[in-house]
Amino acid sequence: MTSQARTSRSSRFSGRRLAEDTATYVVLSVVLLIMMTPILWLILTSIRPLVGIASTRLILVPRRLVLDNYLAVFRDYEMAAYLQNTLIVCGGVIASNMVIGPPAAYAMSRYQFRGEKAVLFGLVFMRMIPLVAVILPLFIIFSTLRLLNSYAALIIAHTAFKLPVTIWLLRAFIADLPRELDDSARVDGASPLGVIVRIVIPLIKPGLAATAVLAFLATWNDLLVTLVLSNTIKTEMVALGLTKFVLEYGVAWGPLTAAGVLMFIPTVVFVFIAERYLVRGLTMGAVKE
Amino acid sequence: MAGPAENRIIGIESGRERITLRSRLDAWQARYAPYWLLLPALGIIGAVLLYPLVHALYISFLDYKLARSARPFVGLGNYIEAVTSASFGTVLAQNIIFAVVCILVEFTVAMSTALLLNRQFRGRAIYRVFFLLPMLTAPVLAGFNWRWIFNDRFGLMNQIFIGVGLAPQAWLVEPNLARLSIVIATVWQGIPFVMILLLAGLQALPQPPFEAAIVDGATAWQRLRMLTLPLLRPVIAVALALRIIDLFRVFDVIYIMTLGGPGHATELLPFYIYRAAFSQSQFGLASALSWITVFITIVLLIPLFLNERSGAESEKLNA
Repeated sequence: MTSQARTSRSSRFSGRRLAEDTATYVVLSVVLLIMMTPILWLILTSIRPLVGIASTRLILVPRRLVLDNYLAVFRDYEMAAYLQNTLIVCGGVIASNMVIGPPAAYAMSRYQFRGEKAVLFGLVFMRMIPLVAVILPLFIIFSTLRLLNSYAALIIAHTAFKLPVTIWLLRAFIADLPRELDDSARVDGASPLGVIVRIVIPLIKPGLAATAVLAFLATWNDLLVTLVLSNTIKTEMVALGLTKFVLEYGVAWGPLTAAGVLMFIPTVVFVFIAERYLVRGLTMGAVKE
Repeated sequence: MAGPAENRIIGIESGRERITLRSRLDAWQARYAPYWLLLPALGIIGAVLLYPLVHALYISFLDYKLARSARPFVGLGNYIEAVTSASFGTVLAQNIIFAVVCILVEFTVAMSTALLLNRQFRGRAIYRVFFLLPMLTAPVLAGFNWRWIFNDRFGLMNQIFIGVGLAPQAWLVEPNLARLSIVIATVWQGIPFVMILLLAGLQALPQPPFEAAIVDGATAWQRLRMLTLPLLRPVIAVALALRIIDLFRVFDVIYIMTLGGPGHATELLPFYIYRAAFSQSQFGLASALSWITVFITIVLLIPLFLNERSGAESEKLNA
């Protein structure tokens, strides 16, 4: 009698659990589908033949796939130049962040010094200010230095814009390392820089990778800096290219969406490779995993 | 301990001068190490972020127009012009309403999703990875996607509307629909961000209070209202502060979707400043507007900083 009651209760319980799980899957899948719609719609448009796009009927799956749009982006538009410029600038930004960032992060996490709090607050502040507030004076400064439309200007500007996040994130990774490691090396007479290069950097490789990816994506995704600091095809970057496609050739949605998909590729690649570390950086270390 | 002793012995063997030089160098290094380690970073941040900000403050007191070489000092003239102009009030109000609406939508959807994702079930990690995609998409690409969805002739939204028998809408032409469109494009990226923060907060919550509440027969709703939300308050505060600040920085979505139009219906502060600077060449006025925005950001940052300081202190205690 008792055991029967218990089984019935537990089966009722697991039945309820199953219902809850099913509801969770259904709700999450619906939310996810809605969230993925813009991306799916973008990809679908980019592989549909031109006639298909201009149809007002709802065709979700194209009858035949075409890569014409992708070829057209390179043939009829300056996509190759945009991509090349963006990659050069991104490379420069990653390199400078990887050289300048770790020593600063090490100082922030291992030393106590006067002005530490001011630096800390300054970094958060610089991450938070509206970039539009600094872009105008930067434009004036770079035009005085005759550096508009140069890779140097874009790399310098982006490096400074990404450094607060880089330092903030690396600081959190270094704080996770046992202090004894670098303390003992310092006692053995290694200089701080030696400790950073030989001990700290090899141990925070995941942190460096995440930081590099975030610096890359932020530079890759940026519109404002390239919009203001460059106005020739020599240095214009892919985000600006995308706005030009829309604002200047507003109707050619086929090639435009193909350009959009190309711009989206790094996001997908890095999200799937480095999801866990990215989360920490994007939330300024508020999330620790 | 063996290291310095060894050095000293070698030093004595090769001469007294090297000891003093070496030890003075060591002392110098130890004392100023944090400063010179920080120097390159602070140098470039100072030159490219801090100096321009100060320069903007200086320009904001000048009647600085690109076309003219004379730049007379006008004191608070630009600030007075900015604050008293009708368009600034409209844009500021618009930005505040935009931020409030986005925050409400983002937190409602993000909290529900986070609560579901906090349950133990198979495939949870996959959902989480996919939720990250919108958040890491370039804002300009997000705007681009939604512009294409809201395209009045071929867009997905109107195809769905036609499909279910509704009249197609001029999404980006009618002011309120245009506002709705930019809200949708913005929350599309904001929801995953808030969700990730809340989810992390949920996963760090202590379990005993919840077990006790279940034993006491509290319903799920009671547990959410009496336990989860109060315990989650610090995380909610951080997420709120970060989002509000970001919602006063929205530029790309506006630029690619509406250019602030129709009329000024979707104009937000950053785009308004951008136009003052680069369409109207009113550098002085634009700088004053910039500093007003920076001031708003500082005010919004205060709660975040107070929160972070207590966080940093506990971090140091743990270390």
